[in-house]
Parts: sequence; structure tokens; C-alpha cells
Amino acid sequence: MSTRTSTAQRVNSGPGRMLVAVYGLFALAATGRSIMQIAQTWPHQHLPYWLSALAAVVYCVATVALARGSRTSSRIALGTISFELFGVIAVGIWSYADKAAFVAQGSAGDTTVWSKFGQGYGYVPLILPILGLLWLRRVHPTESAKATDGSK
Amino acid sequence: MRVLLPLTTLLIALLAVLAIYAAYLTARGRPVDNPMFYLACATESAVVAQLVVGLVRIDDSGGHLSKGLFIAYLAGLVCVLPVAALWGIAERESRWGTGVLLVATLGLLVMVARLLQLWNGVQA
Repeated sequence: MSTRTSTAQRVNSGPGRMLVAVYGLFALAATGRSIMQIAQTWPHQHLPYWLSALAAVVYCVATVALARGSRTSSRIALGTISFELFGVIAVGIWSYADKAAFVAQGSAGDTTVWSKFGQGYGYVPLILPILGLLWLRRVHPTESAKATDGSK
Repeated sequence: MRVLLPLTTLLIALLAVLAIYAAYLTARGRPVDNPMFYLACATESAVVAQLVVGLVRIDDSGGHLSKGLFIAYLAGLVCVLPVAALWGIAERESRWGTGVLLVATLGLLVMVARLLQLWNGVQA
């Protein structure tokens, strides 16, 4: 019997509130990191730095979308977090397959939030989207499930 | 240069106490209470003091310090607790308000560790 308002209250309250905190922290970390990386090597273009920037944008959008908790923003959060899971797995595999692409000059490597499945961040980047998707699934059942129990 | 400033030691101690207390309140299912609020205020004061001392002493660390990154960390540290406190205190009815502060405190501990690495010239 979830109305628009109760859905709005639920996505960003309870455990969801703690989830938003973790997303916020990663938004801060990834944004800071990518800005510093790109600024310090400008105008030299280095691919992993742009992957860091992409991760930063994803975390920022996911944080805001989860925190707002409206129906539309939950959909945006679902899309963003799905992409985040895809991103961390794709970049994780890529960083092991082609190590050279992820080592900047004079750096020990490990240059994006998502490389090596987020090893540099205690694998939280790998676990976080899974928790996010489980949470969204729990508070926001699928449309078909809603249609069958007749609640709008 | 590899000495821990007394202030940084105090900051880490405050953060550790705050983290343990937040974990305890979260586990007990309790919302943010007054001792937690005052503890968070004390910690934030230490973070602000760290910002000031860090800026004043920025030239004392030797040439290896990446100043932009160091200042970014100092400034970032200051913002975390107030935002987390606003977000956590808004959730007064449940344990997850203190959960927010737990997350923020653990994040701050990691950031302080990175700050020390920067100061001591350890590459990440």
C-alpha cells in the first residue's frame, strides 16, 4: 500500500540513510581524486583519470538520487547504480587484463576508484552497488509486483 | 618529519572514540544523543584546528608534499562531520542516524591516515 509519499520516505530513510552516507563519502573521494588527477597532469590526457571522473559523476548522481528518494529519482538511482556495478566489474577486469593502461608515469598504478575491483578502497566500490540494488529492490518492488497486489 | 603531531594524535583518538560510540549506539538501535553530539562537536573542533595548523605549517614538511592535495584533504575533512550530522540527526527515530555518523567517522579515519601519508611522503 505504498503511495508516492511513503515511497519517498522509505528510499532515503532507515538503512537507506546510511547507504546515502556511504555514497556521499565516495562521491567526495572520487570527485576530489579525479579533479586532482586531471588538474595535475593537464593537458596530458590519461585514460584512467577520466574513468575516475566518470566514477565521480556516477557517485554524485547516485547520492543525490538516493537522497531525494522520489519515484523518479529512484529510477535514476536504479539506472546509475546498475551502471556503477557494470563499471566496477568492467574496469576491474580491464585493469587486470591490461595493467599497462592503468599505470601513469611515476605512479604505482591503481589510478582509478574502480580499478582492481576497488581494491584501493577496500573493495567497497564492488559491494556498494550490490547493496544499493538490493535496497532499491526492497523498498521499491517491481511494477509487475505492484500491479498484482493492486496498490498504486 | 615522521612524528605524529600531538594534535593529530588527539584527532585520531577522538575519531576512534566517536566511531566506537557510534557503532555502539547503532548496534543498540539508539538515535543520536547528547553525549554523541558533544563528542562530534569536539571532534569537529580538532578537525578545524588541524586545518589551521596544517595550513600554517605547510612549508615544514619538506619538498615532497603535494600541497594542493594536502589542502584538498584538510578542507574535505572539515566538511564531512557537519554534513553527516545534519543528515544523521534528521533521522532521529531510528538507529540509522547514528549509522550515518559511524560511516562518516570511519571515512574520516581513512582520510586522516591519507593525510599523514601525504605529510610523511608515503606514496599511496
